[in-house]
Amino acid sequence: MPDATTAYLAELERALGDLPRTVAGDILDGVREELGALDDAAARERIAELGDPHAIAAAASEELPRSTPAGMQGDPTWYTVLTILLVGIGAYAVPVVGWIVGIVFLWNSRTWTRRDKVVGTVILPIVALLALGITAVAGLATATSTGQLGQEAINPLVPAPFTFAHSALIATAVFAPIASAVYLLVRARTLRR
Amino acid sequence: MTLDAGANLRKGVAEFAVLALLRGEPMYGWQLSQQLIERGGFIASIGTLYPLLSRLRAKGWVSTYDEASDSGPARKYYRLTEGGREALAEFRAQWGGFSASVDALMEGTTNDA
Repeated sequence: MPDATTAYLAELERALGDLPRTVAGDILDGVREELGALDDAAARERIAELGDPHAIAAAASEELPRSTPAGMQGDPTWYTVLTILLVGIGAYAVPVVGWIVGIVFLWNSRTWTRRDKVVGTVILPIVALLALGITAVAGLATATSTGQLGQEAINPLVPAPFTFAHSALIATAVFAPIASAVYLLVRARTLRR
Repeated sequence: MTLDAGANLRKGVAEFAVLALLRGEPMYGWQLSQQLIERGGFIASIGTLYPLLSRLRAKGWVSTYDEASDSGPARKYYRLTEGGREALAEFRAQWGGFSASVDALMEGTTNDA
């Protein structure tokens, strides 16, 4: 194989690196089959006709959205709705597990981007950690100031740490799933447009 | 990416241009690409051609086979399937009426004239 051909194929392969393997493979096979039959002079001429590998890659990537079969574009609406409901209120039906099932649905969906899936998943753990942290700090602060470490929760006058723990629980169990669900809903509407 | 009207139009019919070219005889990638570019710029480059061909295969409108060439590696030929013939016939049936409607619109005449 002439050097010019080898070099061009290598450059084309690099340029096509970001495209799906099947598309890149088709293009490379086509060019390889075309250049493979040519001697150095003819290959150089044909390479000039083929043009810049990056332009070929750009043209291919512009074709791609339409190359996706219609059924692959997104999920059926019921799947998207069910996922949002599971993430938002699934835990009320089956504690903890309902939410986890929702997250599994979320990651198997084609409606959201990877970034959306990450955000939708981490909202609850982050709220839970923040709430735990704030409760711990507040509890410690109160205990230190009153010198009654470990007795806060029993106090019938409902001191600050209990209120914090209570708010933290509500934030984690109610606010976080609803916030995730609202986020996913907004994103789904944007992406489907 | 912004495309001019002509490019959009050609892109819209590129699939059927391929089917029409294959009506007479099977062709390999380079042949198709030359014809499509020379006969009206239906594709920008082979970068456009191969995703288009794989779409046509997915629809069952073309099939492929390998054939040894006199010099160099075997070539992959694209051939029109029965489904492809039907799709092309359907397109031809629609195209006449469609292009007449566009002409009429562009010339500002009305249907009830």
